[in-house]
Amino acid sequence: MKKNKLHNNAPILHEISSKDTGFEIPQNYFNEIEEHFILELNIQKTAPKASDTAFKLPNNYFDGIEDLVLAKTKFKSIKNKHTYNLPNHYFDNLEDRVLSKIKTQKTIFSIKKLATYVAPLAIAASLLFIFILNNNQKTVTFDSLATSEIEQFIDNGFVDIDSQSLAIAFSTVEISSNILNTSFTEDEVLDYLSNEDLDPIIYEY
Amino acid sequence: MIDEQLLVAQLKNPDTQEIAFRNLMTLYKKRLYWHIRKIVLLHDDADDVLQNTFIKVFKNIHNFKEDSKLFSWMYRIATNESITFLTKKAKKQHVDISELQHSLADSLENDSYYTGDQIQLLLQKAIATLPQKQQLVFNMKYFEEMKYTEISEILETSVGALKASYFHAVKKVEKYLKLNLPT
Repeated sequence: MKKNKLHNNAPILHEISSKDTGFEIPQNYFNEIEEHFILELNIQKTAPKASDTAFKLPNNYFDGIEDLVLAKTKFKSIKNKHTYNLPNHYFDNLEDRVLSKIKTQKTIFSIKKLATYVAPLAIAASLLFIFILNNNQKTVTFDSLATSEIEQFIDNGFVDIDSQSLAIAFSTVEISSNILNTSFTEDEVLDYLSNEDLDPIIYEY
Repeated sequence: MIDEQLLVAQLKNPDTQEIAFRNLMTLYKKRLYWHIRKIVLLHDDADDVLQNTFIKVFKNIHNFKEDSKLFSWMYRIATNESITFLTKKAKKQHVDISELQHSLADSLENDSYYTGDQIQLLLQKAIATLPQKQQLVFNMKYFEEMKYTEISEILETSVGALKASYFHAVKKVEKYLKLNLPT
């Protein structure tokens, strides 16, 4: 679109086009450009390379550098130092020790199940004592106690029986081989082991 | 009429380079300056960009393949240097280039190197609303009255696209002026 055509399409622009742009420059600006440019070129030719001056350092950077480096090397040596010790051959027979613990746990676990059968013997004395206190007129014997009463007494939590105590108290009691052989499937054992915290057993030995 | 081939040969020859560059600057300094000034608006910025342009021409003259006119090549360098300058300036001020150009246009009113009247100031603000390429096309066509073929060589855009671009730019600027001129 030539400027004379602007008259029709853009009359305001057409009006402005006849004026100066309004931009000014310093006096003699164009007279000195060549000299300034040649000077700038010569400066660039003789100036040190950018790589010589471009890099700056913090103040006093080199003053404490020896201490800093030495401190860091000490830190690294501490970091790498092996601070955890283990007994000799710790890992050699770990599997055997764990498996033997598992067997012990099985024994204890079995004894827990046995509690419903063996417990009445241990709690009998306490039951007799309670019944004697409550019923002075009657003579209470084991025979007068129904099994269901004894079981209910245990279920109500009146007797605190822990497996270790039972194991110690009945260390000579023969455990039915059936219980050990048939009670637990491999999955049950693995499930039990995954839920149990074996760390106390491992680290005890 | 300068012999461009001869000039280029002299520019590439180390023995004649300095004199050839003086001649080159004398020939093109004003045209390049005003082209740059329309983009960056401030004189000091235009001075910086002009020097950068000449330095770039000097350092890259050996890469000039003479497949376009020397002036088109220099003009292209000047345009790119101007845009790069504005981009860096905008980044320093944490604004985008469009925002920067708006603020530069606004600041012309208080610029000691600008004596345009109200309508000319408004024109600069209108140009700042155009997309980048349209601004370049508008400046080269409206202010510098360059031919489309010359602009095409500089901006590496087809003549048809340039005509369309200029047409849209004129419409937008005219609309802006009509809306903002005091009645």
